[in-house]
Order: sequence, then C-alpha cells, then structure tokens
Amino acid sequence: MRFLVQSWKVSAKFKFGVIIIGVLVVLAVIAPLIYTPFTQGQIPARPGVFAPWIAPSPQHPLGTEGAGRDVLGDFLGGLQATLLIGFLAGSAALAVGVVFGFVAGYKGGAIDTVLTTFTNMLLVIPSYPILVGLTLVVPQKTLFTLAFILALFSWPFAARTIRAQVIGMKNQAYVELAKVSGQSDLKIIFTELMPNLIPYLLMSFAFSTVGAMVGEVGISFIGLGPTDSITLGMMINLASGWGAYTRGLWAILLVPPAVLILIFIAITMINRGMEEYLNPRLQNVTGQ
Amino acid sequence: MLKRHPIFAYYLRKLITYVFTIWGAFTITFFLFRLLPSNPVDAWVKTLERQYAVQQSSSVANTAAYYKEQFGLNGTLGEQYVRYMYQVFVKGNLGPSFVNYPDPVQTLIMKRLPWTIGLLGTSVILSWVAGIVIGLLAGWFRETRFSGAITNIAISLSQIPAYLIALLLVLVVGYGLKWLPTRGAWDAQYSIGFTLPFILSVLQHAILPATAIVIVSVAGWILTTRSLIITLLGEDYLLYAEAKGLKPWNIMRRYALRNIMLPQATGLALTLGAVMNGQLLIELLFVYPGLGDLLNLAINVYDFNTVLGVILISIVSVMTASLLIDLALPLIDPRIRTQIQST
Repeated sequence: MRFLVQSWKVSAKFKFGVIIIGVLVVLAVIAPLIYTPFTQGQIPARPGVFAPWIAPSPQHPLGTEGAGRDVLGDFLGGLQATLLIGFLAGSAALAVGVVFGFVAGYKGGAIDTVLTTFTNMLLVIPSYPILVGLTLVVPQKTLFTLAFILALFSWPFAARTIRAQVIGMKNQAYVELAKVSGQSDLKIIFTELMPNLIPYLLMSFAFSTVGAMVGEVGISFIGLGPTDSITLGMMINLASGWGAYTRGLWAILLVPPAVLILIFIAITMINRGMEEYLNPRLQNVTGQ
Repeated sequence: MLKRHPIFAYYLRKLITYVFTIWGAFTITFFLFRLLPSNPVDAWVKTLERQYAVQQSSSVANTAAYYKEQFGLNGTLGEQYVRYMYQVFVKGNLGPSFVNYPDPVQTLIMKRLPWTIGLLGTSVILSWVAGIVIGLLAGWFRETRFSGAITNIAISLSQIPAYLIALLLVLVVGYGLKWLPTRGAWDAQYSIGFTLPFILSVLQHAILPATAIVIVSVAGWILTTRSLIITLLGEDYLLYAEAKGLKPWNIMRRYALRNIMLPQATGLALTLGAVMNGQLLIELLFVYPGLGDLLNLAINVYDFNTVLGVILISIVSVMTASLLIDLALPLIDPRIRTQIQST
C-alpha cells in the first residue's frame, strides 16, 4: 500500500495511468446504470432487440448498429467485458505465475530446472494460433472460459519475472536468518519474501493483463470472441462486417480501437511509474 | 573433459537446451491440436455425405480411412505422434496440406515465406536502425525537452499491439484519405516478376503494414537504447575521452554507440527470430499473402499439418536465433568468456 502511495507521489506517469484506468473502471462498473434505460433491460450483447441502423434519438443517444443493438450499450458493455477479461485472465495468470515462480526460485535445483524448462518451452510457442485453435472448439465460449484460455498463455512471463526476483532475494541475510531460526518454507515465503515482492507481483499482474487483453482483441478481431458478451475487439470485427468503412460510421470504427489504445497506454504508464519508484536511477533520467 | 573445458561444457549445454526445447515446445503443440475434438477429414467426409447423400457407408468409410492415412490421423495418438515426428525430423517432410491438397506443407510455406520475411524483416531492421539513432540522441541529450517528449511518446507506444495501429492507419490513410492500398501485396493488374511496375506496386502495398510495425517497434528500441546510453554516461572512459579533448560527436559515435551495439545486436537477432509471432494479425488485416494468412486459412479447416508446420518454423527460428547469440557471445565478448570459465 505504501508502495502505491509512494509511486503516486514520485511519478507523474503513474498518476496519469491510474487516473485513466480509474475513470474507465468506474465507467465500466456503473455501465449498466447508464445503458439500461436505452437498452430497455436487455443485456447489451443480445442482437436483434431493436431495428438496425436507427439514427441517434432520445431513445438511442448514439443510434443502433447493424445487429439491432444500442450503440451506447455496445460501447459501455464492451468496455466492461474487455476490462473484466483482462482482470480475470491477469489474476489467473498471476496466481499460476506466483506458484511456479516461487517454487522454482525458492526450491532451486532439479525442480527449478524442470519448471524453468517447461516455462521456456511454452514461451517459444507462438500463442496466437493455439488460442485460435482452442477458441474454435471450446463448447461454451463465455467471457470466463475465454479469460481462462487467455491466462494459459500469459502466465509464463509472470512466472519468469517472479522466479528471477525470488532468486535474487532468497540469499539475503534476513531470509537466511529465518531459515536458521527454523521457520517453515511456507512461512518464509509468506512473511519474508512476499511483502518485498508485492511491487513485482503488481507489475507481473499488469503485464499479464495487457497480454490477455491483446490476445482477446486478436481473437475477437477475427470473430471468435465470447458469445455471451460484446467486447471492444468484437466491435472492431462487427464494424468491418457491416461495411462501416463505406458507410462512413466513424464513431463505431474509431472508438473501440482508440479506447483499447488508451487502456494499453495507461497500464504501461502505471508499470513504468512503479519501475521509476523502485529504481530511482530511472527517475532523474526520464527528463521530467 | 567437461570439467577442464568450461567453454566446451557451455556450448554443449546450450546445444542440448536448443534441441530439447524445440522438441518439447513442438510436442506440446502437437498434442494440443490432436486433442481438439475435430479434424479436417471428419468434417470433409460429413460434407461429402451431405452433398451426395451417400448411402453406402462402406465406401464413405473407405474414403475416410484413405484420407486419414494420408494425413497421418490413423492409429492411436501415440502412433500418430511417433510417425509424425519421424516424418518431420528424419525425412524432413511436413506432410500434405489440407487447404491445398495434395501440395506438401513445405511447398506452401516456401511460397509464402518470402512475403513474411520481406515485410516483417524489413520493418524490424528499419525500426532497429531508427530506434538506435533516436535513442542515442535522446540518451545523450537527456536533459532536454526533446528527450523527455520522445521518451514519453515511446513509452506510450511500446505496449500497443501493432494491429491496432494498423487498423487506425487503414481507416484514416486507406479509407478516409484513400492515399494507399490496404489489401494484398501487389496490384492484381501486374504479373509477378522483376518488372518496375510490379516492384513499385509491392512497395506501395507494403507502406501501411510496415509503418504500423515500425511505429510500435521503434518505440521499444528507443527506450532500450536510451537507458543503455544513460547507464554508460557515468563511465570513467567517457570522462577521460572528454578530458583528452575529443569532440563530443566522436565520443558519442566511437565510445557510446560502440558499447551499446552488443546488447542491441543481440536484441535484433532475437527479434528477427521471433518476427512472426506477434505480427500474424497484421497480415490478416491487410490480406497479405504471408504465413499469417496461411495460418488463418489452415486453422479454420483444422488443417493440422499446415498449422503445425508454420508453428514449427516459428519455434525453430526463435530458438536458432537465441542459440546463435549464445554461441557467438563468448567469442565476441571476453567478459562473458571469463564469466563462463570462472563458474
């Protein structure tokens, strides 16, 4: 907690990123309150509720799109689903990464060799074709299953980062002391190592989240997104399917990629800000 | 023998890791795809049954069995695996493709590889050169507003997937302003060959996808170059060079730039190895006839041979680039040699 407050004080980048993500998250949380009056209680992803291509009016402030959905509902529902997928997949990836990273880094020896080799094997497989293959056959492609599939390929990075940090930390004097005084491995991990690693866990979480969201956009982009929700990536795919280029529907075409880019920039800034706090040498060289 | 020659042991270890990682990654991929509850032959036979309302189940079964054998889908999973690995790594044959039956997968890959290498390789090298030049200047003049602005822009761009940038470029430059073509690799009115109009057409079609890739990857190179330069700036030999009265331009070029070339060349090799991984969607978006496009065609009809073939190329190029770096570094850099010898 103190770490986050310090990063906020030290880094303008961190502040910028947190504010942007904060606004978007709040918007996503209260999204149903905003769009419910216009979608008349329907979930935004459900097609064919209204007539397609209704022009903007008090009933539909941004009109409806080609599948007969409220465009405002699309934007807000899409923002919600995209952030949720990133959060779920990021958390799952972090959880697996923590287990792998801690076991490999702390235990060392043969266990480390096996786990690290396995992680490295996964890292060289191009994940995109596998993601596409899995999403093609998954029977119930909900937002949750998609997040789970995406997490399968974003944990190796987290595992590698955490392992490197654990290795650097486990030979410190205070860890040796805890070992000599007969504390169990689990207790050492949770009371000695974990608190010092929180910044790195947060950074791994942010990286996994970005990775998962990039993957989601890639999947949805070619029309393989979740079937129970609409995401920003899916909107890009749908827009090109409706011939939005020739119809000149600039809002539908530009808003989803622009919001995605904003999310990626904000998360990168947060990460960079935390790094600046951890590594003061970066601070005075960033030319702020 | 190994104890007395640590360098030899190091090379041996790297080679074993190389072979073992390729084998492992490829095996994981093989089983992942075989476990999918669908295969091209079944789907195709079902279509046949529907189309011709086939009644004699025996002939359908015969056809299915024939094609299953052709694609190596007969027998148990273990048998399929052993047969496939033997065929790929001993005979060097990736098997017939389904998207373009009966052409073998290697023929399809060879046809498309030049496009992918041409587009992605050129973009990567261009961004590397530009990123080093900009990063060098941004690091050298680190206290200027120029440096601060460049850094902030580069940080913002560095994590954005290139296909989102590409999408915006297609919308604005392609559809909005109608300046550049957004589909394919050349204009269909020219036939393929070393003629001027064809080459110009290819270059024109490559501008948008290449720009998208360059915008994102140049940001990464700027950031790494800049931080490498900044860590160098405190070094004694730079101070000494200045005291000797060398011109700042010469110090920058001969002392600073040369010292960051090793890590940056390593980075370039690794990026070139991994060049296909991130940019498959760019090819899809631009309908560019490279490996990404082939992969997309193949995956939609469960063409396992083709998908595995493309993934194998990708795995091998990533691993080979990193192996070459591992093998070359001790030869180039005496510090690494000493490090290996002392362990």
